[in-house]
Amino acid sequence: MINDLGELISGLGSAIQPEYLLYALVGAALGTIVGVLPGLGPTMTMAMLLPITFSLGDPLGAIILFGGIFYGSMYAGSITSILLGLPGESSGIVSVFDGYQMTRRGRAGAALLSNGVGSFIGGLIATVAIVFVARPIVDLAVQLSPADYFALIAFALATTTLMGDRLWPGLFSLTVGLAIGMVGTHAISGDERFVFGVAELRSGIDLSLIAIGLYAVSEVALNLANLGSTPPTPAVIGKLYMTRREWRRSLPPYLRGSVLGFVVGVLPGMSGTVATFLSYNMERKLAKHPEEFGKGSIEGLAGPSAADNAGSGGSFVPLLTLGIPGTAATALMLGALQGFGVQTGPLMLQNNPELVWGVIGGLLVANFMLLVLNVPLVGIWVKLLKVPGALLYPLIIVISMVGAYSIGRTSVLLFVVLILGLVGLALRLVGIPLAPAVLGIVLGPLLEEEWARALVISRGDYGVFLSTPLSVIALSLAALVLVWPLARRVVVGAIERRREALAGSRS
Amino acid sequence: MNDAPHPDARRSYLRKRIAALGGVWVVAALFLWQAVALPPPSRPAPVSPGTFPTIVGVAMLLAATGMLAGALWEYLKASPPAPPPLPADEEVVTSGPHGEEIVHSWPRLGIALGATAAYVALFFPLGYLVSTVLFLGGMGAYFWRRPVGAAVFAVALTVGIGWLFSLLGIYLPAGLVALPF
Repeated sequence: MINDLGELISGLGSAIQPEYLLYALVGAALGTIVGVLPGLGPTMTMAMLLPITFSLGDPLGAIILFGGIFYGSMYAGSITSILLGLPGESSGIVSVFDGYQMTRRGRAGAALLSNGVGSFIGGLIATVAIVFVARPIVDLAVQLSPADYFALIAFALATTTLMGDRLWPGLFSLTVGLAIGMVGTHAISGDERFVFGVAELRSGIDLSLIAIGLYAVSEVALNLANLGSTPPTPAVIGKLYMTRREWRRSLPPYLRGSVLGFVVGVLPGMSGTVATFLSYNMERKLAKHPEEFGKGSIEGLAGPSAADNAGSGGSFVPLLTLGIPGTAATALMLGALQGFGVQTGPLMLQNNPELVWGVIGGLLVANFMLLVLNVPLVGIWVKLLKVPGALLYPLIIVISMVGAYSIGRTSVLLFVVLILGLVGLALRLVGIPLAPAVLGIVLGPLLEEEWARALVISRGDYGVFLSTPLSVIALSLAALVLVWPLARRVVVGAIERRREALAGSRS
Repeated sequence: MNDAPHPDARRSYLRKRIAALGGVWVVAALFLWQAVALPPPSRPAPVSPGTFPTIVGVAMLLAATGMLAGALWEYLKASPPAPPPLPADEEVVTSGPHGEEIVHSWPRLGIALGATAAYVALFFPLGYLVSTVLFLGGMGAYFWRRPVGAAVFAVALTVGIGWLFSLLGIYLPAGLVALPF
């Protein structure tokens, strides 16, 4: 543990070098911008920038940049929730309940301060917590067999189907991602799959192209189709000031929200958004004045604001220790690391400690920068809402396409992006979430590789997947996650029918 | 005032949804067919290249069938959740009862996609500078309704982005007019 703290200090030392400070600042500012602007998210921003980061040639810089974007969007996703009642990100939905009510009562300054401080505390506690849990998880993970690893990835993928609230759309999205991930040369036999004679597809479709197409193109097209005619007018912010009583009431929810958010964030498929809802419910149950919730209770704002940033911090744990991301944003970070040729997985901490600790150090630095950007400078970001979408959205297309061009410098790749954009749009229009697809694309090849390795070791015996306690537990949980939504519907339906029958017989 | 949509509107909404999910089902079936048709490994390998895609294909078809069956069931029950009324002037994309994104203006969507397709097609023949100025200027003029302002922004942003990428060592296709750096 002492060693790890020493490593963290050396990671901080790397992170405060001028170029990494610049990456953290650019990431934090970009994250804040997309967090404030409704309709634009961190995953889309990372997708747009993924090819550009490869030309920077520095994996640590790329992940610090992405970490800044990820944290920044969580900070700022609640700013418009508080001022306009309009969440900038899904993680800001809960902040509407009490944050917007505080604004309506003339306490916008206190709400913004509470949100900024809560996000900072959540991000800080979660980032420090990564240091404490990383080494024990890696020590366990290096002993895992291919069958264990396969089972863990299968569990992580199964839980991503929970990202939508229905099983079938999530499962469909996941299989689309797995299918796209199979395009190219089969790693085990060397045979081509789904290439259809297109030479550019032989080495697979680059993750940057997929991410740009699925996320950026479809998101921009939808935003343009739904442009509002009048920009929203934010409320007056007033003084950023909290009374002593408000500080006292906020501190316990900050701490509880941080711990809850971190634990939820570590779990695959669970986003900061889930953590905010759980934190809100917990605070309401624990509150001395639960009747104030929904009417401007500062506890109802403080807990979730810490929980969403702690959730983002927690989601770095499976990424950095196992190489198994649990969210679309961390999946893109894994893709970036792999694109740089970094060996991801449990060995990353052993083989590339300066990278892992540098990332954690960079996250800490970005978190401090975000506190400054989001509390005293909050007024500047709110003005961004006045930027016309008609200029902003086409600009995103241009940066995305130029980024796609930089990967292969052929027009075929731009058409691949366009086609994937249409696929992403079609999926969205029928209510199929995109996040499971991104995880499927990134984790699919790894899943198939571990599956083949396990079968090679067992000489084709499928019993190997149930040969260790971990693989049995992980596969059982994966099956449970997939069956649960259907089972719940059947059970709830049966209970309701019974209740109705009882009510009918009584009357 | 009764906010519940007319039953015919519900049915029409569900009919469209069933048609869309029918398309999704066909895509899943095509993928499974392609996966099953993958040849055995050309050299000895512990796992055939077709096994994993076939498993994924079965799961994909199962998911597509589940979605389609759900929509058909709702249609037969004839008490589907109503599509929400569309907000008039809002910037957020709202979602429908099945989590689907709602398009407020199909012509705008068509223009956004058509312009992007044209941009992709003309990126190499016209070069970065001309194609990007046309794309940004055209989109700005149409969606912002201020052609002069859009043109100024288009030129400034195109040159600015080109300069930033040149700093990263990415030189963009010249086409008709090359960037000065």
